[in-house]
Amino acid sequence: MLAALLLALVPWGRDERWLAVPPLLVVAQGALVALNGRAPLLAWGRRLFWLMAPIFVSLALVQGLFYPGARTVIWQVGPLSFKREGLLFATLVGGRLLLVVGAFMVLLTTTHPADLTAALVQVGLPPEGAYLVLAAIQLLPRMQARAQAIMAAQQARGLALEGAPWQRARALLPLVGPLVLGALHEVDERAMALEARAFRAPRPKTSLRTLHDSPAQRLGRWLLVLASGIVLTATRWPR
Amino acid sequence: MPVRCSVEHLTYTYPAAPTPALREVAFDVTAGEVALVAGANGAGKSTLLAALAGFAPHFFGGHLEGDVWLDAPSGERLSMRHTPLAEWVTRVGLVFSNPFNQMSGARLTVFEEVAFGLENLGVPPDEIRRRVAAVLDQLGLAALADRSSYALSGGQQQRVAIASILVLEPELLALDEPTAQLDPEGTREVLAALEALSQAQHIVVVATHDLEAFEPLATHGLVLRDGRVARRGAFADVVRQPGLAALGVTPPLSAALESGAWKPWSATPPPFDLTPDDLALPTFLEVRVENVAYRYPEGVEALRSVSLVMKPGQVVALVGRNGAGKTTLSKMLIGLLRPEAGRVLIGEHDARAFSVARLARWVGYVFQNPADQIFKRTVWDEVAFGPRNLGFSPERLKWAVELALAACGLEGLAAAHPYELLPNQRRWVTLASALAMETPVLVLDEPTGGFDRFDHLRLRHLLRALRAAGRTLLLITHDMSLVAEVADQVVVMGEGRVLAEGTPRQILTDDELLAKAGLEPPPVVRVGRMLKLPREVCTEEELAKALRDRNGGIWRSGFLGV
Repeated sequence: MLAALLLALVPWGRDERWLAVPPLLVVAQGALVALNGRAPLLAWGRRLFWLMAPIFVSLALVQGLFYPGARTVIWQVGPLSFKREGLLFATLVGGRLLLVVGAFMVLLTTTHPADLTAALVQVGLPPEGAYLVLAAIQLLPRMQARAQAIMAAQQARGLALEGAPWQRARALLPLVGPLVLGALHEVDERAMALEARAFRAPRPKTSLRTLHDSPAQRLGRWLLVLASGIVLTATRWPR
Repeated sequence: MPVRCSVEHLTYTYPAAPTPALREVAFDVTAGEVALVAGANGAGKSTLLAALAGFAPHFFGGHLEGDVWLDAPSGERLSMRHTPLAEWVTRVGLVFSNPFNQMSGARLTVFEEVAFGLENLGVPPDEIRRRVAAVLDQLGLAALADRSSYALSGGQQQRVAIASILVLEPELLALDEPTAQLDPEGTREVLAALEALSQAQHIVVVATHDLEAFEPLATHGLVLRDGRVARRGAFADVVRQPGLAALGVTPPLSAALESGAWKPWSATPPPFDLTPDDLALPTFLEVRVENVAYRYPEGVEALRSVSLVMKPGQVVALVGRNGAGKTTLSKMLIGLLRPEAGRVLIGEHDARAFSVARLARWVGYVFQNPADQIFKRTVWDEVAFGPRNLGFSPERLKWAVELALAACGLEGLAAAHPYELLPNQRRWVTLASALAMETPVLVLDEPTGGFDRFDHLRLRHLLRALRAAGRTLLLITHDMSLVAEVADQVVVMGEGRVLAEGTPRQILTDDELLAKAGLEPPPVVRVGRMLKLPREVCTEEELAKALRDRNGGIWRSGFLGV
């Protein structure tokens, strides 16, 4: 999993020769997901696409049109002119983002959050810190579930969520208040639930999940650190 | 030395509250005893449990006088006031009343959720596995061990919450309304688990409105009124004392009969001044569910060809185990779920052809968990939310909201923030919110969680009034007494099918069927059989009449033993 994170470091070269690198590495990430076998490759790919597509479009628009110092016009639409330098830059930045996000998604789709926190505690992070990481991972799905429950209740009370897009957008406004208030309320209850389960008991904890860190994995990680060090040096070294 | 807990002159005031929530509360409870805490909502039951467990004041803040002492098996005498919460919770466990928010958020499966506390206590993994497996088995959760702890029904979540604390084997276990969301079977399992704990020389303290269910287990009783101890003593004595009804407590039926003070509930006049005319609507709608099947996206087959008819002026009660498909079926009526096969007709309209918001003109729906259906800053605005969406005129809006508030006992609370209310009042707000929409059809999903005697009586009167006004009512509940008293038709569901259908008398006196569906006859049926009445009785009115016929109008203390 860490491998994917470190792969993201690679494409920091600034010129065109590096453009081919991100797609190749994304394919490598996909291969990691497929090899791991715990999460469907398709789900990972689809999520990555929907996450990144809007970013690519906006990058292409902004950089293509307004990249400072760009001269080579490749596409003229009325008063708008897309320039080669800008689009190249957009692709480069987008490629890097794609790899970073893709790497995190490889981590999240292949690693059970409980394994992740157990691993973090095993390498010395305090349990409170590990809990924060887990809470952050769970935040979105929890909020989503709550939002769905609230929306169901609001529709059952006659709030129309169908119709024209602007109508639907307006119907989302009444969702914000109860969602935030409910989340704040839940923080309190969550804190009580943790207290009641002796989370802060002043004694050493045990863990049901023990992760086996084989020498091969350890060696692999060090090799990756080494590899990224080499890449950094190679791409950043003043020429 | 046996474990013993002494509560001494406990007076507790919440931060910024003008008056104490508990005043001079004192009692003792020893290992092997099970103390029941009863009283109307707002009397201080939950606060007392929170104080036993150290949350008041260590978590809430506020001001505490007096103390809770625990004589540990080691011979130490520990003071709650002077012990840090993190240490106290290892000795006193608390199960909160709201089952929906007791998950730690630190673990994802049921098994790991239950194991979480033991991990925190540093118990070796092998012992954790053994203890967790034993508790899950005890509470009928073994089949759910690998499920996500969030994707559970209300009753299942409640059992997971109990299991998570039970597994810690605290010297004192305090449970706040542990059976409010449970089906009769789940309640039996919880009772058996508590009995085992108590026999292993632990102290059990339970706050509950369901004295009937806990009667076989309870050794001591404590009734609170306005934060003070109103009754205290052996459970069997406390529940036979007069005046419990006025304290918002319904004693076990047999005890009430023996005390000589028993009256059928309907002899108490309704707590509101509404006529069927006030509640009548210009339209009546029949609901028909025809061969409906549904499978959740995850593949769970929730409904397999279910049919039923609900007529105006009738209460249909939907009963069955947690997870039998009751809520799934009811959601079809408001379009939140669409049938895969078959159809749902609201009057002449196929529900499939209408949006949820459109169906809401015909069908009012009260969800099981009040937390997700409160959106506004005042009770008045909350109740007005639905009518406003439906485009009521200002006059009609005012009339509808005020009527709903009066019916639900919220007149004085119109300007309050819903979050400031007691849990039972919040539930009434959700009921009022549906009522104010003036829908010919009304669906109530588990409306009685956290209800005290006053709430129960109000709900029964209200349901009868709505029925008399010609509304079509669907009631999902585990409360068989409520079914007996208000339902016209009972539909028993099991594993996504209708197992049986009939009048309350037919269903609730059929032991074989009840056992098959994981249900139990209501206390009236059981007591009627115990008394060997000539005719099987189902409602309290029938029981009262049978007793009058038999005893010539008098029943005396102790006659049950005759």
